[in-house]
Amino acid sequence: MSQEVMTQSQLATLAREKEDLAVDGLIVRHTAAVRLTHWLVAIFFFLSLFTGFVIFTPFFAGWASVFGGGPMVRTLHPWFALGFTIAILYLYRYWKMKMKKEAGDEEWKDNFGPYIRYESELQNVGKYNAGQKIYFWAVFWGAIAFLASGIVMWFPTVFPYFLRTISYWLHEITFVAFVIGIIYHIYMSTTAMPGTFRAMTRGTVTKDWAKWHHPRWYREVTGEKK
Amino acid sequence: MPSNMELRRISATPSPATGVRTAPTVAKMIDTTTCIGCKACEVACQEWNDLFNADIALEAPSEFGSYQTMPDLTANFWNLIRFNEHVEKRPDGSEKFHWLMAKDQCMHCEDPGCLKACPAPGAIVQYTNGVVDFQQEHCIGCEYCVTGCPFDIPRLSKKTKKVYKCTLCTDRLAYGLEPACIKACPTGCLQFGTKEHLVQIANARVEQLKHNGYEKAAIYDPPGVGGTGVIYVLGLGDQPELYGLPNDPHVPWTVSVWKHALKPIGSLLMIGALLGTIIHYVRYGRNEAPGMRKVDREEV
Ligand code: HEM
Ligand code: SF4
Ligand code: SF4
Repeated sequence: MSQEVMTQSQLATLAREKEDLAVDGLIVRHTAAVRLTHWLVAIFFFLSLFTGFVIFTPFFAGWASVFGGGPMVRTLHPWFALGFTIAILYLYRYWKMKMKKEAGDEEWKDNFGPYIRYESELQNVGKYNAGQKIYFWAVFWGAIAFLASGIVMWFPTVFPYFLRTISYWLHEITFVAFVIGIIYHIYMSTTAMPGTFRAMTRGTVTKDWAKWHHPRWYREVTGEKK
Repeated sequence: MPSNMELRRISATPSPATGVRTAPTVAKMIDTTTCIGCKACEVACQEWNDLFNADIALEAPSEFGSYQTMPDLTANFWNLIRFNEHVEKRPDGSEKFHWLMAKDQCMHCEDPGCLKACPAPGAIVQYTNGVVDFQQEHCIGCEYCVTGCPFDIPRLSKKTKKVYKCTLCTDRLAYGLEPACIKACPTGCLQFGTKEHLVQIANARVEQLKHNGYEKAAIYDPPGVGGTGVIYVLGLGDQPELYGLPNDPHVPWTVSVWKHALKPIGSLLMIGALLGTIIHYVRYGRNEAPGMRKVDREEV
């Protein structure tokens, strides 16, 4: 079977196992395993986030009823968050090599202003740009900060007073950083850059999209010179 | 409801507390110099609050090298006479052993750190008469209050996952009765009344003690927490630590920064980030790859 005549569903089957593969105007960007892991991270993150918000501010105290009341929120939050941590560890397994620093990253960082003004013309941008890599590592270390401080907050009286107060601060600061991060993460992957979200649903992106946002990756995958 | 059940403060609630009527601030006075360690107040507390339950036996070790009933407060034991052991070094070189009795319970702080730390709306309230009370039905069991309390008072019950402490017998006060511990005290070292009145009595007692050779006698009503609803007369008033009382208690600054700086600043930053995306979208719109067909754009 030649690649040209492959149907969408056959392609989808393929995309479950292999990535960085060009077929018929589309490129497989994420395998099904990576997408599933990413969705687990997202689901557990939002469950942790919404239970956390109830405790964070009384303005969201009403959301407690969604989870079965305040005491239930207190009980569930650390377990949702453990799910988040484990999912993040799987994502780390998939992405730690791919998120390594490479040539072109420094250039991308210097080019940040034009990038957010949509004026960037950089050609040396691989599968993940430097911003995405920084975001991934920030999330990874943030998850560790959440875990370390969260364990102390789970069983506060087991730990010395000093550690407790540090943990409340750390959890809070990490939380604010995560919320800011997730707002831009979602904005950029949906509204701001059409054609991106499908990378996490179908796993494929169009060749036009790849050539525009990740030109070096496009060249690597398709073998085209330009 | 009697007027003293109106609220001066309420935890994690943006709207004001309900108290519109004024009530005098009430207090307990504990004269440590006349406490004989009879523990009648402990029994009265357990009795009134129906705390004779099976868990208490589990919490109380049979032997821990002290005359105290319990090594520490528990969720089922809210009022503990501490038998603080103190060896006085006399000028002639001899030594004399003292028990510095101190009744340990919630201090009913004017500025309660527990209430400031609590994230659950209405789980901790302060009535207009100054009594700080936990409302277990609203408590989520996070133990933030334990970190907020400068006196280390609240205790989580393993069974209910809620915190408990002395209520200053608010259910007795509401009917014009004095707290159970006060009623039981045989020496009169415990007294109950308006704070104003008790401070006068305590000061008079301090003068008397000074006259009788306790030069360092002092009243303990720490200003760092705005004064407390439990005031002590201490024989060795310059060293409250000997009685297990913090020298200069405050609502922990780390808790104040967490609640009054990190939270508002963090909230503003998060709202700012949301606005930022809107501003960015309005200014720069979408970054669309050239050549994308309508169908590519819409596919999810
Ligand atoms: C393994 C990681 C984590 C653990 C063990 C953990 C545990 C805890 C615990 C025990 C509390 C105290 C209240 C409660 O018991 O519910 C808490 C509060 C909180 N958590 Fe987590 N958590 C973790 C990760 C997260 C994540 C991923 C988020 C957000 C996405 C989050 C957001 C919050 C927030 C906003 C609060 C309230 C903080 C405050 O009141 O100032 N946590 N966490
Ligand atoms: S344990 Fe209960 S009373 Fe204490 S801070 Fe948490 S919700 Fe408030
Ligand atoms: S002593 Fe502790 S528990 Fe009692 S009112 Fe003060 S801060 Fe709250």
